[in-house]
Amino acid sequence: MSIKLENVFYTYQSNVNTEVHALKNITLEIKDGDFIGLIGHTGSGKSTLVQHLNGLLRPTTGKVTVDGINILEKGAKIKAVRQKVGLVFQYPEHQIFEESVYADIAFGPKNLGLPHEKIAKRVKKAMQMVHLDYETYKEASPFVLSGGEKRRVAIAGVLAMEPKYLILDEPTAGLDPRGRDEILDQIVELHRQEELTVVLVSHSMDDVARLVNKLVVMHKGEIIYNDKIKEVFKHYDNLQKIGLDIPTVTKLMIELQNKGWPVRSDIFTIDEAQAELLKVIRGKKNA
Amino acid sequence: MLEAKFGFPGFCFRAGSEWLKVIEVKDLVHQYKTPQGEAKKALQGISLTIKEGEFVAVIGHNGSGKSTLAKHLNALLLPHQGKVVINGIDTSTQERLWDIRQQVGMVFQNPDNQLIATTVEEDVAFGPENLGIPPVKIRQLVDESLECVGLDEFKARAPHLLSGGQKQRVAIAGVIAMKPRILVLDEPTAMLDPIGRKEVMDTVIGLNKEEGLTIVHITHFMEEAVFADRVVVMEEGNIVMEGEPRQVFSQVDILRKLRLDVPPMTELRERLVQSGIKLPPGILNVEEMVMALCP
Repeated sequence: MSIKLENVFYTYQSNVNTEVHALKNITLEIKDGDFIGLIGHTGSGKSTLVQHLNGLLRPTTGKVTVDGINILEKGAKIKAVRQKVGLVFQYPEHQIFEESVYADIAFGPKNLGLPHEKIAKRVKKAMQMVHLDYETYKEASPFVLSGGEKRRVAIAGVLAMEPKYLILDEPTAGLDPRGRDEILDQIVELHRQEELTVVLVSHSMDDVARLVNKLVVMHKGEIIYNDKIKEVFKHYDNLQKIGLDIPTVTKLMIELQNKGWPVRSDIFTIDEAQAELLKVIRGKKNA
Repeated sequence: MLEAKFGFPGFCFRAGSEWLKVIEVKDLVHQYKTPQGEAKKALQGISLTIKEGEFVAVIGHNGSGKSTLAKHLNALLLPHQGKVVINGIDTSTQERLWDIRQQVGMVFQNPDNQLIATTVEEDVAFGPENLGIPPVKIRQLVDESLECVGLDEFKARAPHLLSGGQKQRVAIAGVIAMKPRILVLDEPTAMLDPIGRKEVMDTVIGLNKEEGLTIVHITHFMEEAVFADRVVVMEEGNIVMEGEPRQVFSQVDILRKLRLDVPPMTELRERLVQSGIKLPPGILNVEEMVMALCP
C-alpha cells in the first residue's frame, strides 16, 4: 500500500495571466513505513505537492492514487483518502477554533459520526501521543496555551482521525529550540511506535539529516533528488548552488577533504563526525 | 560569507565612537496576571546597559521574558518597578513618549502584520508622514531607507507580492525612515526561510556596521546571535548569562541545561576535547574548526 504520484503536473494562472507550472512531471511513491524528508525553497512546489497527497489539489494532468484509490476517478472515496492521509499545515495552531482542547481535537472524529465513547477514546489517545495530559488540558482553552502546546493540540486533532500517513508542513516553524525538539521527538515516536508513515517538510537540513531515512529535494516544481540521505548529500555542490544548505558537519568534512584529510564526506550528524575525526586524528598520530 | 564581509564580531566598535549609554535598564520588574488570577513576574528585576552602536543579541525560550523586555525599550510597556532610560529619557515620562518611540524602532515577527499600504514606498512613508515631516523630505527619507535595505527597485511594488524576507526588509525600511538610533527586532526571522533569514541578517548587520545603529536582536537562532557584539541569555524573567558570543557559546553545559542550541562546531569541539584532542576554546563555525584542526 502506498501513495503514488505518476507524471503529475499542476498548472495555474498567475494574476498577470501567464501559466505557472507549480509541479512538473512529478513521479513519487510514498510507501508504508517510510520516513521521508521533503526539502526545497519557498516556491519550489513543496506545499503544492503535499496538497496533492490527500486530494486537496487535483493534478492538471497525471495520476494520484492513495492505497489504490485513484483520486481523479468519478465517485472516488475522497473522504476515505482524507482520513487516511493526515495533513498538518504550516502554523496549524491558526486553525484552532474550539473553546476547549477536547472540543478541538474531537472535531474531526465527531464529523465522522462516531459515538461519544469512541470520540473520547480517540481524543485521549491522540493527546497521549503528543504528550498532553488529558486531565490537565481537556477543559483548557487552546488560546491560553504556549505556542508549542497549541501546535501539539493541532497535531492531535489530525491524529484523532487515525491516519495512516502523516504529512507535516514545517511543523517546527517559529518554535523555540525546546518546542522544536519536543515536536520532532514526538514525530519520531509516532513513526516508530505507532508505525505511521511520515512525510516531513522542512527547511532545516540539520534536523532532517538526523531523522529521516529518505530525502526528496524539490527545485522549481521538479523533484531533483529522491534517494537515501547519504546519496542525496553526495550532491552537496549542486545543493549549495541552488541555495539549499547541507548539514554543518558535512561542510566541515568537505573542507577537511579539501585540505587533504582522509575523512569521509558522508557524515551528517555530530556523533558521526566525532567518531570519524577521532579515527583519523588517532590514525595520524600512530602513523 | 558574512564573516568575510564584516570581520569577526566581538571587537568591532567603530574607532572614535564614544561609549555612550543609549539604553539603561535598571532593576526592571514587570508583572502580569495569569488567567487563574495569580500575579506572575515576567521580568524579575533585570539590569542591562547597552552602548551606542552596540549589537546585542537576546536569546532564550518562549516565555523567558525577551519580548516583554523588548516592549519596555520603546515604552509599549512601562516598568512596574525599576526604570528604563533611553538616551537619557526615562520611558515613564509621558510627555516624551513620541521622542522615545521615534528613537527606538521596533520590528516584529510576522511581516504580514506590519505592512499596511498598497505600495512599498507608501508603506515606508507612513511613519515620517505621521511625524509631520514635509513631503520633499519624506521623499528623500523613503529613498534612503529603501536603498539601505536594498529594495530601491521595489518602490512601486505591492508589499503582499514580495517574499517573506523582502517584506521584513520593507518593515525595517519603514522603521529606519523615522531615523531611530536604536533598532529592536523581536524574532524578525522566525517565520522566514533560510534565504529570507540571510537577507534580513545581512540588512541588520549592515545597518549596525555602516549606519552605526544600535541593535537589539531577539532570536532563537544561535547562528544569528554569533554576529552580535554581546549575547544576553534570558530564562524565567532573569538574565542568566551575558558576554561575547564566544564566551557564552563555549559554556556548552549551561546552554544544554537551559535546553538552548549550541552551534554544531562548538559542540563538536567540546566532544573532541573530552576525547583528549587539544583544541582552542571558543570555536563557533566551520572555518574556525578547520583552522584549529589544520594549523
